[in-house]
Amino acid sequence: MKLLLILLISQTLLFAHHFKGLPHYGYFENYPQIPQTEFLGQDGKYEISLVIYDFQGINLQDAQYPGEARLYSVVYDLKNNSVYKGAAKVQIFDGDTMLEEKYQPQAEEESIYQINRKLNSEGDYSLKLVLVDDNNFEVRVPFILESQKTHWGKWVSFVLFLLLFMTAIGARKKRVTMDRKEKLLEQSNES
Amino acid sequence: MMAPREIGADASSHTMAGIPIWIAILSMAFIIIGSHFILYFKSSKKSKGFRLNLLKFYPFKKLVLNDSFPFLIQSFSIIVFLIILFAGFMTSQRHSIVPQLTWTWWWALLIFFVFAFGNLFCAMCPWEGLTSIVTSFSITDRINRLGISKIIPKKFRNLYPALILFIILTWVELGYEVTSSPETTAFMGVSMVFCAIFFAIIFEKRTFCRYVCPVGRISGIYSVLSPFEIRAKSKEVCNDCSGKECLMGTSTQRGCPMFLNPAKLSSNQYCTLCTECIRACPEDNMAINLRPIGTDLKKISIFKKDEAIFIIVLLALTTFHGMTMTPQWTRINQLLRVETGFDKYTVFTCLMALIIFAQLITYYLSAYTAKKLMNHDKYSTLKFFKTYAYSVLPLALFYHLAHNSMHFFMEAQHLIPLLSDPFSYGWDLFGTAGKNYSQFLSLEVVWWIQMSLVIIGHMFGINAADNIYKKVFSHEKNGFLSFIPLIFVMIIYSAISVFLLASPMEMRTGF
Repeated sequence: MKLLLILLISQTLLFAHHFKGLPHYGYFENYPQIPQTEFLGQDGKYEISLVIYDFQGINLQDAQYPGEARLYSVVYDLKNNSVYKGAAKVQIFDGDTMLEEKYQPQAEEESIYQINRKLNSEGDYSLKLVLVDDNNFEVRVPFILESQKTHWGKWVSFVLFLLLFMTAIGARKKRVTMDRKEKLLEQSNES
Repeated sequence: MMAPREIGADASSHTMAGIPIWIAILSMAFIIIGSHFILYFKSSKKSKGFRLNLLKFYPFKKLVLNDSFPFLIQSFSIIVFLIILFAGFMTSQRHSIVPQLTWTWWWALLIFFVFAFGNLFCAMCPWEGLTSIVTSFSITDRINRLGISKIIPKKFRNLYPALILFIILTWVELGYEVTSSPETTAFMGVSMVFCAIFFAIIFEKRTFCRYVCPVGRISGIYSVLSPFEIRAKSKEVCNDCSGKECLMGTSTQRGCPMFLNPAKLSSNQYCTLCTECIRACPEDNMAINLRPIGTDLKKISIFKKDEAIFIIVLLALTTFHGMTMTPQWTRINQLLRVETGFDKYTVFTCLMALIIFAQLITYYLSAYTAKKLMNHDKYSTLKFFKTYAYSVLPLALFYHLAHNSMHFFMEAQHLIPLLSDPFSYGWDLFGTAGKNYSQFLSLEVVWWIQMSLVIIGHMFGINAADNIYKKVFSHEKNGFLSFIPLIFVMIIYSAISVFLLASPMEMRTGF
């Protein structure tokens, strides 16, 4: 009980930092405290990690810019084990149409390139980063919004449930027949 | 107390220190000296070890004999499981209790639970609980009224199905990063229940638990070290028993669902502590004993190939967990991706397969060397491979505990705020929502716990190897030589564990 009390009152200033755009506490978490979908794109030696916050699970009235999707990306140089922090053009595409472009002379705090934009649920989106300081090398990563996702888990579970239900009905019928036969056999043995 | 060191803050990764090098060296010294110490000074006296029958405590016995006992102990885990399903499928994916509850609490604590209580999780298993309710149309008697009781083909009566599922589970956990997806985590839970029910409908007894469930088989193989067992009190009473109700069941009791004969039980491995045999026994001849840790390892006399492979792969995958968190792993991954052009899943899968095979080959080579050194035609390499595998088991268990210690003691506190608002409805049930709590133990304490566990595991392993050698090979000429490659390989395995614990842990936080 004492241990529980100590745990509950031991709210301390932790190692607060940011993890792809959101506050993160403690350095040891292998599992994100705020689960997010990460989109990865690779081209040559560069890998883009893109995390999108489009207010899924957040009360829109509390949001600073309701309806906007915020895109946070980090560009890893896989070959040199470093992060690209130089000038970059960040572009949002819907198919081949550029919807938004932002030039960042350098990465923001924690090597992030950020861009905001109101996006509707119908687009075929991708994010392109033009790495100006590396001969305008382009890296592109397709992404979907939370509202475009199909949450297939519950539907597959439902289908599985139906299949199982049908199997169970069949199994029950067979079981009843088996039990009846067994009983008859027992009765005939007794007589 | 030292503050956690931060290394490489200017690189792409965010790296935290592993255990200091001097603790690592000290541990290795203990491991090497301790191995010699055990071999030279170990008592040759054979003791049966104490047994304390917990059923002598009448209130506990009364509880266990109650027909509702299985449901009683399963109800808590069923409730938690249903919460996970609801939160995973129906509530926010971003602010979710599911990853914490499933992967940091249940998955990490499961191994501690097995070490302390044996296969008790299987007795509490929500998947088995739901299967029993569905197939018996009852929450108490558990007689299967649904199944057609087919016999599973002989070629599947081994640990390979569970092993394959365990490898897939590890791939999904580490490669596909299911741990950050509440929905996929919930779906995995549902899949397990469906598999369990499906098998219970088609096949006899608990075929799924016995041959397929990776959680049950991992718990099972580790529980040979546990301090609890269910055994017959008197062999004579069992020999005189004609009904064998503990195995066959009665009209109201189902008997052992794991195809075991409780009267002759000598290992915990497949016993799920479900206590069905206790309720079924008309002679009141079954006991739940408290016993010395590792008792089954001393008595083991049947060595199976599937179990040996399972143990080695278990050690490989546990080590692999640790490896994936080191900077070296990230670096190799990155370079392979750039050089080969393969995506991260392909590279991950290849490296995972490589590590599993490397561990199997290393162990096989030790068995091969043992055969060559002993120079005896009577024994094949496979014989050494199967026989000595059980001595590697404590290494796997204790490294698993050490690895999970870091996860649990450093990450588990994040459940506290989530408990106040488990479904992300804006609740604050316990006044903890939105707050942050410090880790349960300091990093330095966790380091010492981890190192102690690795050393204890190694000592246990050496002790088990010595017992097995004395039982199987000591009477042979050059018998002792068969033992040497194994000791060497075990020291290598423990050194890898120490190296992994001493390696910095990596988080890619984009600094």
